[in-house]
Amino acid sequence: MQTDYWLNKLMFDLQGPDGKELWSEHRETTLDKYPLSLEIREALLRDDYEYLYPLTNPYLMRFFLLICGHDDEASIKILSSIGVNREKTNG
Amino acid sequence: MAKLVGSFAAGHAPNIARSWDTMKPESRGWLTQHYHEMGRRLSALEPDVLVIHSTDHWVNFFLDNMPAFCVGIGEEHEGPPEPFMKPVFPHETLPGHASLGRHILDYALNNNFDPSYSRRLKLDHGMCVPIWCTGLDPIPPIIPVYMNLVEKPFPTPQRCLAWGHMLRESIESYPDDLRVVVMGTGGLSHSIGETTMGWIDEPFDMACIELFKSASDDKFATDLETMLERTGNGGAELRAWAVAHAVAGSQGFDLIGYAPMPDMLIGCGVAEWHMVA
Repeated sequence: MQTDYWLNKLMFDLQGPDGKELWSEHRETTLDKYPLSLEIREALLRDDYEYLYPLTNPYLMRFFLLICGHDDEASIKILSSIGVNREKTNG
Repeated sequence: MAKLVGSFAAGHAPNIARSWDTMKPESRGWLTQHYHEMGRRLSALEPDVLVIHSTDHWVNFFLDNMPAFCVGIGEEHEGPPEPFMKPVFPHETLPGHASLGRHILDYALNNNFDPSYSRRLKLDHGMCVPIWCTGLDPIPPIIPVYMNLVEKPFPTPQRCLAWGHMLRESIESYPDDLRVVVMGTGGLSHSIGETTMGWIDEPFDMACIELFKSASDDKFATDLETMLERTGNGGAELRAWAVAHAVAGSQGFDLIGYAPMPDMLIGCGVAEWHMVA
């Protein structure tokens, strides 16, 4: 399954020095810059990581969770609870 | 003529830099001991140039342009852009080696490889954590070779071995007297951003170590390809180790150290290959 180009691009761009502030303070206006589907946009607004997970490169998802304030321990907890039944993105 | 004088590999977990001051003392002690040993061996070889292979961690490339191999041929490259690297490795730029970089690029293009190239790359933690941890001073000029190991499709292990063999020929056909060391960074097992994040696959790591010790290229490529389908996504970085393996002649290595390090999220390996003439 192909991940979502613009969702990945959003996460990629949030790696910039002002990424955390953009995401925490200006989420809606940041989202306006990307032609995301309505479903993805809504999932981003409600922090629905389970919906976003299969649409995202795992390395970018890890970074995105950090931007959202989740350290490694919290990220592991969130990700392990995602019951995705899909082909694992492995090495 | 240039000479390949050494080949090494080491893990490059970002947490090594991110949590250096706060990690468990035994982790910091292990890392210090084993990376410094690698640095001691590397310095003793008096390298003029380092050719470092690593995956790009979404720093130089995105899905609009994702080269399997990209050779850095610039006179200099940018230091790591990640904020967590700045306190420990505050280099704004690092010297490249444009002439040997261009020679490797030309040699590759004339020998059935089609890498992309860049005259200015950002050297992310994948390249800079091992350089920093080994304590190299001064840092020799670097030819960075980025590989795509974060977003499928990846170069096959067989292709990475072939790249390593080609790289050896290219180095040894360079006309100036240079002492060259190759390094592969990343691995061993880890799982990043997956539902299995934090998983360290020790049986995978042990099996890889056995392959590096004694496997033929055919067995190595076949077995690694199969093993990578069953472990975490970070295992893909073993392809950079495969380059270090092949460039040395695929005749075994000295494992400087291995430790599963849950706080670094990796099975951490440090190794030096036996050099075959």
